[in-house]
Amino acid sequence: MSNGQQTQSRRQLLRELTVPCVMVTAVVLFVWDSMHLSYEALVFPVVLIVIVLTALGWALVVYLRGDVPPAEALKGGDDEEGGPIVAATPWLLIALPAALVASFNILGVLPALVLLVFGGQAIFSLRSPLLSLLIAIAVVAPTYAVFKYVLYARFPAGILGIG
Amino acid sequence: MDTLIHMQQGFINAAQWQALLMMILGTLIGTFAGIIPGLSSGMSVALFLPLTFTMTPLHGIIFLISIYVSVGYGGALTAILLNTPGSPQNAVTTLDGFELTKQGRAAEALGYSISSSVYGGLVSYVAMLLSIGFVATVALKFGPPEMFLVAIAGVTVLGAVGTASVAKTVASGVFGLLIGTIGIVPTGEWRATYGEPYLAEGLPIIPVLIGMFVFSELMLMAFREYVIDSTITVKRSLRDIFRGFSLPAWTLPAFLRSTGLGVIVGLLPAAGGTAASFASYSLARKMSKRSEEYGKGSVEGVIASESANNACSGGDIMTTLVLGVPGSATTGILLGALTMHGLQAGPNFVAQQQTLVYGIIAAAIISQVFMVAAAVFAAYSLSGTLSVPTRILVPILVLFSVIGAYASRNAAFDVYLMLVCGAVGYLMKRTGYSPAAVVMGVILSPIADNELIRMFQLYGSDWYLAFVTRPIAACILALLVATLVWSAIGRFSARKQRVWHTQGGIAE
Repeated sequence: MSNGQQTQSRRQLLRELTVPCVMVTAVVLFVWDSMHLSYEALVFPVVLIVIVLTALGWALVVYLRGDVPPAEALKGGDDEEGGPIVAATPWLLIALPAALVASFNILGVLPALVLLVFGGQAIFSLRSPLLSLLIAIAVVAPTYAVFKYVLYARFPAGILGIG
Repeated sequence: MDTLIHMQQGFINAAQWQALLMMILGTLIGTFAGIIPGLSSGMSVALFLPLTFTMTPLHGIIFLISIYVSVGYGGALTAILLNTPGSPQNAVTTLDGFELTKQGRAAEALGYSISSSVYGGLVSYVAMLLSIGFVATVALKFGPPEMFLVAIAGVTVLGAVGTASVAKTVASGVFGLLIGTIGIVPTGEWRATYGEPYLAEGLPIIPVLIGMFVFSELMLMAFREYVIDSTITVKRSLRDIFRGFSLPAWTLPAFLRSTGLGVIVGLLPAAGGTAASFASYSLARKMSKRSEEYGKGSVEGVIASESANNACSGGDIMTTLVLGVPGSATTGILLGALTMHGLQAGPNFVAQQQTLVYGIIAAAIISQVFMVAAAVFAAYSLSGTLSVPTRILVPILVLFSVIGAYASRNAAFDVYLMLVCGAVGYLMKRTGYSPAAVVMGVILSPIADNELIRMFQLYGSDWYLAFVTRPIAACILALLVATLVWSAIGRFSARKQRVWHTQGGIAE
């Protein structure tokens, strides 16, 4: 096996381990705060944990044996078409709202949402900043009005007092 | 007699202008969402769920059901015109629909797809209207063991009928069940909440739904420049569309078989429209006298696929309302909407809220008229080039996701939870796991958990014997085991066939 192939197969293995790692971490956190529970409250989660870990192990064995059904192989191996799993753009879509929601109390919801839509367009490609800003305002204003005045959502006003 | 009065009242409620307005809005949104590949019915319903906060339960559910059903119509249009199914349940329609487009018969194919969808949907809703009372009476005999098994079946069947890896689907579904147990247990204890008051009532369903269904898909869209990218243009013809409304007599057996199969598949928890359309297409091809036409532009193929996936929705909604167990991931969201309005679906719900239940069914029937209008309009106007740039669409959907998650409880916590679910859903989709199974698990978990604890209280240390000593529970258990064994045998033989073909190929 060439170096390139080894790197590729190591990368695929790491990728295959991503979700099991997330699930196992969640299971550990779950168990950590459930030690004090009674038998009645514990039996169902314990059975579920055993099944989750078994199924994850089974999925890993299937992968290591190279016994992956074709449909799944397509889904899992779409690096060329779907881009690498660690590519920046999708993760920026997570980071941007996280940062802006943290600033809701300072900026106020309305300006933060305008920045969200404007920033979202910038993540892809900012062809015309002015047009992007106009699109952001045009989309946010009616959405905000529907939630604020029709659905009576309560939004923080921020330092500008717009909320 | 009482039933007839409730039925009549249901139809009156569904015919009021507010209800009709919700149908029109839901239909327009659903048809539009169906046209956009990547916006599945589950994703669309989850995205618009927050808009129903202040509506009455009837209007809210009518709005969401109209979206759910019309997504299938919209999805068929792009499947036929652009070879791009708008949602997974329309994937089979591309096989013959797009071939018909290439032969210059696009408008006719659109007509067949719209009419078979409407007729299939109508048959299934009328069947639901006539049988829901009886089914609910049977379901009233269900106790904690039966309800526990039905809830577990919802997740397990997903693994059995799904097309992806069984191990990964089971891991996803059971993981959903596990995180769904977070919160205050019926015994009064706090389970895995880390003292966080926002988690006291369990994982809030709206952020989980929006994250797993919508946000994960938006992250996937980041790699595409256009949602649909096609330069295919076809002839616009209203006359051809309407010509497809009278199904040819020779297609009737295929239509009836597919509709029947769709209703039955819809009744199975977690099976859904995609399984129905695949199964019915395969059945229709096997039994057709013109099987050689399938895949080359068969009218029967389009009718089989579209009638089955729409007929499925009646059974799907009935399972959800009668058992409180979603027939598919999308009806799982409808179940969440009912809970949000303080209603608990299940046998008692159908018995106690008959007017509401019949109102929902009546709305599903009436809304077919609007769906035909919306579908014909969309089919006519779409018969040209369509392209949606992701740089515009994705930020707008991110906005809806954020504001929808926030507004459910006015809590930033819910937005962060939605983002975490979105990230996990994205990783799951990229590695073959099933976010839909996680959502099913989260929704079904409180039912299974509460019923199991009730079993402990009722049967003491011999609780597990109730699964075999109670006849209905034993039947459900036997059916569940049979489904799993049947699925395992099917997969095993498919694998053997694959190995055989591979070896044959090498030998040649």
